[in-house]
Amino acid sequence: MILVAQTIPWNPGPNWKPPHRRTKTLKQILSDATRTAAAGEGGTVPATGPMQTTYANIESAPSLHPAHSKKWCDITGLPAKYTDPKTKLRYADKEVYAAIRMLPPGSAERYLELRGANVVLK
Amino acid sequence: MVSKYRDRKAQKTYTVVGNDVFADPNSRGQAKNPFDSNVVSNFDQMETLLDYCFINLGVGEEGGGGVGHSVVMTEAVCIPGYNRKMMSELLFECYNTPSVIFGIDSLFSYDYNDGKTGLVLSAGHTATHLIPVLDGKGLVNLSTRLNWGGYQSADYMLKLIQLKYPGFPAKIQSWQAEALMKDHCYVSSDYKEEVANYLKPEILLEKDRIIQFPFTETIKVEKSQEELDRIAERRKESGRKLQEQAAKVRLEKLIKKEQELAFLKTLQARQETDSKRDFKRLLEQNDFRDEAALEKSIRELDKTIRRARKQDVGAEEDAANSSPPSFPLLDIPDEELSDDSKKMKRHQKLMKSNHEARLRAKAEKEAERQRQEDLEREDAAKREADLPAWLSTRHAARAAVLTKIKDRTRLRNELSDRKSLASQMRMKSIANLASDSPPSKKRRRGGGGAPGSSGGGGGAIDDDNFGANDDDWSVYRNITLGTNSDEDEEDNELAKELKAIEDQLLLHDPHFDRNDTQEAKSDWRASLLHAFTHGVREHDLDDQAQGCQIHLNVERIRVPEVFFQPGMAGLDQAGVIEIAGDILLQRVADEQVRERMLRDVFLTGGAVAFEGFDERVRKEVRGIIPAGSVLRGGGGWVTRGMWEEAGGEYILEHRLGNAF
Repeated sequence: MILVAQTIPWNPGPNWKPPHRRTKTLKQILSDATRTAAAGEGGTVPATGPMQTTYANIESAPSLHPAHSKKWCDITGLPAKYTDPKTKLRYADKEVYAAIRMLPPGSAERYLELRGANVVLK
Repeated sequence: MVSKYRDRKAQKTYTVVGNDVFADPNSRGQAKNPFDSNVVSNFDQMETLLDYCFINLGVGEEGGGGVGHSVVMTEAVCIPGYNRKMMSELLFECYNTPSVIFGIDSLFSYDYNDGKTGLVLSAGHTATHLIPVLDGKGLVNLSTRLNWGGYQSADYMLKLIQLKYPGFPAKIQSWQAEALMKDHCYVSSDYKEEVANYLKPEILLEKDRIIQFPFTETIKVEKSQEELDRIAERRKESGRKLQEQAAKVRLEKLIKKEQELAFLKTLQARQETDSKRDFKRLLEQNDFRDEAALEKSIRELDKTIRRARKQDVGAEEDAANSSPPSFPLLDIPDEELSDDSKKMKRHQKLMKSNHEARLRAKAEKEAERQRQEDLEREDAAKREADLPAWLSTRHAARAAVLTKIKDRTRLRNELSDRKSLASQMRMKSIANLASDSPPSKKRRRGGGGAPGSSGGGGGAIDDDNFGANDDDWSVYRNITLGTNSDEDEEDNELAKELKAIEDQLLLHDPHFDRNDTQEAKSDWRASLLHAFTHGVREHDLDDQAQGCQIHLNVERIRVPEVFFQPGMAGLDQAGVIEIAGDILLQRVADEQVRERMLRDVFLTGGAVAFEGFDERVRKEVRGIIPAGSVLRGGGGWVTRGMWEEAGGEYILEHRLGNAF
């Protein structure tokens, strides 16, 4: 479906003028929200409930369940008993270890990235 | 998805919305999503999106300036106030809608399915929410979000496949990964148990899914045996002709050189008979500076002739097998011969020396064979005398070959790593070879004593005697990288040696059987990784169809499992079951309310469409609730949200889906 501006059948409202800046990333929106909330607590805007829930604070907390710290093989997904001291990859058996040794450069980092365990230097 | 792009040819700017953005490569490159995570961040694109929706719905054509209908708008749980402000501004001011209702999609869905009190688990595109509902009202302040949804799952799937098949010929698109995930992934009811046994052949046979990507088959033209024979024959024929020609040329050259040598020798002989002056003139006539130069050229010529003869020995191997040729002219002195037969005599002389050299080579070969036989006999004798001792030596030899092979592979791997010691040594060698100055003073001082140097006398001071020692040349071997034929040959040799030793062991050691051989150990049947990447059948490298296949096995349960164990994908959050337990057992204070909520756990959203999701949730929620509670099953379990059709009453009761 291709839209050309002229075919739109309704006219925008008389007061309608697109605001200057209409694109904000979620990060910007959230930081703006916390800033206004902090200003509001100063006096003008009263808190609406006993506990203010915001987009940021409904995020789930880190897991406390011991079962969830189980380790899985980065390559195959099987339960992993070992960790390669060089690449820090977890692996299931010696055959996978041999494969880790043969990985092309950069591959190990991509595996780690999948687990969020890669080190990013900024 | 919205894509705005300008077509240079048509001089027009196009705006494309929805699935159509993928139709054209230009628009595909510009395609953008107005959402950031699960909230709208780009309202320009949102406006285009709404234009598209209203036009397709056919609203607003009645005239009256605006859309003219009330709008139900869904939004994320606990959406920031900024977004709602922007959205209502857009709807009221741009589209002139009379009224707008905002609400949470999953709560619409729950209400539509006659839910009153329960826990809503909504797994969406970019996030998963758990919202407790009491008497039809969503308790947004108790809800929790997990930052994982269908989009992240598909991305996870894509990355897993890409890493599993690094050299895959086709480019796997994200929409393909998403389709694969939807079609083949399912939630395991007992992940730990199932994944541990997933790659066992009998289970894998059933669970492995093979995805064939398109490929073009190249058909090899099979040549018939007859044709092959003919080609071989032709090749042999031409080779023989070439050899003959070369031999002829060589012979002619040789004869010419012999003549020259003879002439030079007579020249040398004249030194004794002629006077010094005459001899000197003679030398000058023949372009020689002095006697030393003459002697030198004689020596060199002699050498080349000898070398050429040796070469001929190799080329005419067959001739040696026939009866020994006779050289009758050799015994007749020169004086009695005519010029022609003198030539013949020289030729025969040459042939004779060739023949003798051949005989010598043959004798050497025979001696070598004899030596081998002796060795074998000795070995057999040793074996018969003391079998255990013999076996232990053989085993040791096998272990030695194995370590050699391992060392070679390790060295090769280290060379691929720029920072390893091996590659640093290599770089050092290269630098030394490339530099004009000698590598170090130490070596310069110590290297002078190598005997038998073939280096010329001219540059005696600069000469570091490189090459005098055969080991010097290995430096070039050390600096060459990669899989050159030399290395391959060495690998082959090692493999052959290993095979020979193992054959002997198989023959004589009762405790050593087929399964112990290296061959059996590296067999694909025993390989876990083979099962992982190529399934239960043998993989044929030359088969193009198999080269374009993806085997989905562990991924089938690994991808959806992230909802239950987000840590697997590097997300430091609790899984949905743990969140549910937290909400039900910690946050809901009232015992009775908790009891009622536990009776209804409602699943909605696209990501819960994984087969077995409900089963798993039921099983695990039962595990966390206190004994004696009854979990309602059946009716309330809906795996697809239908929030698009949700009624308005619900929202009238609650005004806004979100607590505000």
